[in-house]
Amino acid sequence: MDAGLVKEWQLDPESEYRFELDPGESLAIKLISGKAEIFGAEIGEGVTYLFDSECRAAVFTWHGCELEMRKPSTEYVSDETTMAVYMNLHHAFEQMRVKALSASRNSPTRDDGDGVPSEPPRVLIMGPDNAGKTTACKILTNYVVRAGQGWRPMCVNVDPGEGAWTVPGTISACSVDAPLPTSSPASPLGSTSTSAPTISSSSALVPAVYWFGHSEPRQNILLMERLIRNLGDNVNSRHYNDPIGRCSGIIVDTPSSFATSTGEKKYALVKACIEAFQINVVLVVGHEKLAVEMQRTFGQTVNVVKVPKSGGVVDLDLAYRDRVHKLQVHNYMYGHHIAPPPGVPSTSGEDGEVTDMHLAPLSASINFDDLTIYRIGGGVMAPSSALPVGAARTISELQPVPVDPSQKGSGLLNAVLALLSPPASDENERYDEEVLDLTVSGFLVVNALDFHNKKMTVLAPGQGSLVGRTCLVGSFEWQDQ
Amino acid sequence: MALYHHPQANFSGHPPMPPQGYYQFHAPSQPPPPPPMGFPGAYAYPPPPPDPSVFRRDYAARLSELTMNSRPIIQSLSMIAQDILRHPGPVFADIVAQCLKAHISRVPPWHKLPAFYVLDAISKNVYIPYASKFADFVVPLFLDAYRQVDQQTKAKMEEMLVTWRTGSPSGKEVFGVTSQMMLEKSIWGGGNGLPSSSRKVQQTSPVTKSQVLAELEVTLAQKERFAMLNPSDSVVKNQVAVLYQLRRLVEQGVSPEELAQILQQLRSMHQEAAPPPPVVSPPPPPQAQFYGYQQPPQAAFAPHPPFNQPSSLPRPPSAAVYGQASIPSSSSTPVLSNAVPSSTAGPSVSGNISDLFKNLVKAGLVSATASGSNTPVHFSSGPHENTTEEKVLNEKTSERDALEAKRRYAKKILGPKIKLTAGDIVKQRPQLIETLYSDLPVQCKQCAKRFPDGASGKKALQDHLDEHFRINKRLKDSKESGTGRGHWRGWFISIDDFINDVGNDERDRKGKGKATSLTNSHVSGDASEDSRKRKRDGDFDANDAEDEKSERASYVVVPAGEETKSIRCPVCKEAIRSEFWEEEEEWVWRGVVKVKEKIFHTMCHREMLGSAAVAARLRLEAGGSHGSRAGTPEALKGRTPTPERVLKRKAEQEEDEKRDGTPPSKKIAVAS
Repeated sequence: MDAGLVKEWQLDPESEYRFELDPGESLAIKLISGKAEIFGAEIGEGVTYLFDSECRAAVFTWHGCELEMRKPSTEYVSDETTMAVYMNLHHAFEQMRVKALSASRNSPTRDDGDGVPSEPPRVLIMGPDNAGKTTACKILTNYVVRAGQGWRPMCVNVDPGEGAWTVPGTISACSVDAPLPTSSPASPLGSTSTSAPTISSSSALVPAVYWFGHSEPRQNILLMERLIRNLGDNVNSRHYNDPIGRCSGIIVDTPSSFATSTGEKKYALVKACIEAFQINVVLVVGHEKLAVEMQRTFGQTVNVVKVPKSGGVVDLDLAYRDRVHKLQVHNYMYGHHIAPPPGVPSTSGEDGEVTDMHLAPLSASINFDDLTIYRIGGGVMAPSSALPVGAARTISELQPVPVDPSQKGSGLLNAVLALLSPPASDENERYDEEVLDLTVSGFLVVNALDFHNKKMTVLAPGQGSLVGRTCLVGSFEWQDQ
Repeated sequence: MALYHHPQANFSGHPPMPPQGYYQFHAPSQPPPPPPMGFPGAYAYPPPPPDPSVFRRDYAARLSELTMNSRPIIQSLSMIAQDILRHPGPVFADIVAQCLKAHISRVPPWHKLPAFYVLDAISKNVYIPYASKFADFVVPLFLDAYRQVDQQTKAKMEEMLVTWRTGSPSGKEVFGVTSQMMLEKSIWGGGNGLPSSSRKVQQTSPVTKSQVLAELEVTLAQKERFAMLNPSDSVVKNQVAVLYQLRRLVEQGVSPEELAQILQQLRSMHQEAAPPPPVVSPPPPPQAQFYGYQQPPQAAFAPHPPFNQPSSLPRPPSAAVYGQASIPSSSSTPVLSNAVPSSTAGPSVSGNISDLFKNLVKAGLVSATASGSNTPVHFSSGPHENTTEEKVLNEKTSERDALEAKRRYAKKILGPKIKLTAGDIVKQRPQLIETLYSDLPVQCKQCAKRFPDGASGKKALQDHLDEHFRINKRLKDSKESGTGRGHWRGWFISIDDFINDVGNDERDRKGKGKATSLTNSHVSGDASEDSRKRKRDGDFDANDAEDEKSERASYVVVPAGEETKSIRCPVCKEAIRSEFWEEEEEWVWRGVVKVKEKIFHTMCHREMLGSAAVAARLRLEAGGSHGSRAGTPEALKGRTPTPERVLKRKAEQEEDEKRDGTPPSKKIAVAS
């Protein structure tokens, strides 16, 4: 116990303690007294919370609090936060939820809340890089699930550069009913389910996942649009079965490219999102011009609200994002364990927290022909012979191109593969581009290729036969260190 | 010897003992003598002391007939225990203690409570030397049983535990302060296991709802008796009404401080309500609805030899506890007389009650008018009817409350005008914050999750804490059994499951969360084919240890002195090693069950019971195919396990399935 490492902070009401960790550092925060929350998720008094992997976060308090921490790096306290904005937004949305719920139950609409639409809030969050879009999404989600009304909002991530609850290269949707914790960029929005028991459903999320395969939507806008519409259809179908979920609304986190795209079809993906998820509120974080443009383009159907950017957001460079991508794949396979800073007792993994989850992926040797691997739209690596003769460019963007592992330069070594769910069992329902519309069952990483024996070694998260399955490969690679 | 006689007891109102249950002491081969209860002279044993081993056998046999809450049997067992003390030497008391202990630990959970009633009756009525003998083992025995029984029985055991506080002839703890405190601490948690001699609620220690409820029940029953005996006593009537209201309040949920306050007042009421020993011999009441607060009047009737006259038969003070399950409404029968002069108890208690009531009103917990409206209803009906009535009422209330809470929330939320404009959302509205904080005052200390106030919130917290407990236990078990590497990321669910598996409550969702690997089952197709492929593919090593964690959940406490004794499972012949379980501070055998004094692996025993399993084993031994069960080929892979091992693994899977509530067919494929 080195007392010199322990530091205490007194926070005034409506101020926040912000910290940034350097690589390899971890931080332990304990709430001594008062009430506090991290991106909308309340933290418990006397409970030690761990952070690592260059985590940048803030502990905010509405009421004032006393914090104790060990081994912080960059840290400061700010009383200029945007939390009041999120609280107001939350309440405006909560009014819509309450109205939507009473409307769906045919209860008479009360006189209260005049002018509040009785549609649940379906919110699209937009903004430039490093504006705090994902944080906004998290805060709003956490406030909803904390309201004690049994809401389970649908959180949608259409930023393929953001792993959300899984790995980057995906877009996904997930019903959330417990606050999403913040501990490491490895799982910015909680973690998908594992075989380990866990108390919080935010460590056992069950999303619907599509594989885009790249970190930038512009690398294949047509595919992106198609996946967004697929995801929207599925979310709507689910909400048809789930009135509470429907009334809880949708919160969509978008990539910054949505805000900055140019050209004639520059808002094609925004439009796709608005249509797919029946968006009725667009939040534009920290970008005045974009807000105006959104108002002009979509103001007829949606309510565009400009949200100030928090002073706490940190500019993240590409190298950092790259490290986070790697970390997220590692987290997917191996789980994430945060070594507590010196002097802090290990939490011993109570409740299977995301801060202490050791997972055991399996390495398997399979034959080349056990898996059918496609690359959507062909890539630089695709054999040109596989492209249809005279196919238009727009077609080929959505063309599944088979990838042959036995060919050198297939680009499969170290590639992250998305294992697709099986196609329809009925042959008559099959169609050419079906692989575009299949969700992901999980991810594999090709560890080794044995051309001589036509075998490859793949890392899989758990047990299950891979024979006869279909995979998609994108531009993500990962090496097991 | 015969120090404690209980003149007010009379058993003549009870049906005669069934002959086969009769305790045949000297002449087991003779035809059964007439039922002893209430018949003078039936227990006039000839002087020569019986053979201890015969006595042991007979007493054990007699105990084994106690398969239901039968008061006659319980009483006769108690009387035998008292009577045998006429013979010199400590051996017989030891035998009784040993028989009881063995019996209670052996019988299935649903037979445990009646046996505890025997223990309870003997301890209170005979006291010396039994109480001290029982005290040696009563704590683990009670706790062990408590863990196994259902909720209803738990409540009964709690009631019994409360009576033990003052159960000794001197009004002290029957089994001593230490035992009592350990029991109360384990049952209700915290340090509130307060002995009667220091009735002060520690402010620091949390008081649990169940504890207060148990004490409330006891006090309530006591008050009702007073009220019935004195129909004209409006003070007591009022008290009963207040107590009922209190009970409903507590059931709905009050803050810990209020619980502590209620408990404190209740306890002071107990003390004052405990009646002085009657000075006159009252006529025997038709039934003995006593809860054990009343000290058996001592010495006053000492000259009577035991069992010679009806009036001298011991009356178990806690008889009411026994009777409740079988004759719940008996307390509504008019009682002509009672050992308790209500005139002394009534007024002294009323002060407390009104204090309590006043405090509650002050705290805003009780509306002053409510008690009046409740009084007639509750008073006229028996306790059992009340309970159901209350239950229905509670359910309705909680439903209405939930709706009302929703409505209130909607009203509150819709109150402030917030426009979704850049200008309006930056305004400060501090009043909104509390919808996420103090509007949900009940908070889980472990994960900061909040719940609303009131019954539903309390219940939700309780369920939530149970979930914490279960999950921590599972994590711990899996760690201890070395399955740290046993977890893996689940496969994502199929889109059909995503759309349809919406889950309407927490539990559904949990099940679904667990099912992520399940989807893989219809993903990977036919299970047996799957495992064949896997054999070929090689490296997908199933994690055996994963399956073992659930097996370890069951355990048997090692009898004192046998910690080092090595035993073997009679089915698989594997040695079972004892280990020290810190949580319970006990040596236990893990993953075993005790059946007919034999320790089995839980799985082995279950498998032994199922003839299907036996058949499966025969097939296996004959080298047959593994059939469609995916688990079996998996276990066969890479080694040549004994058939037992394979079957054990299978049974474990079955347990997993049971626990997860997933249909076996689905889960089987998962395990592959």
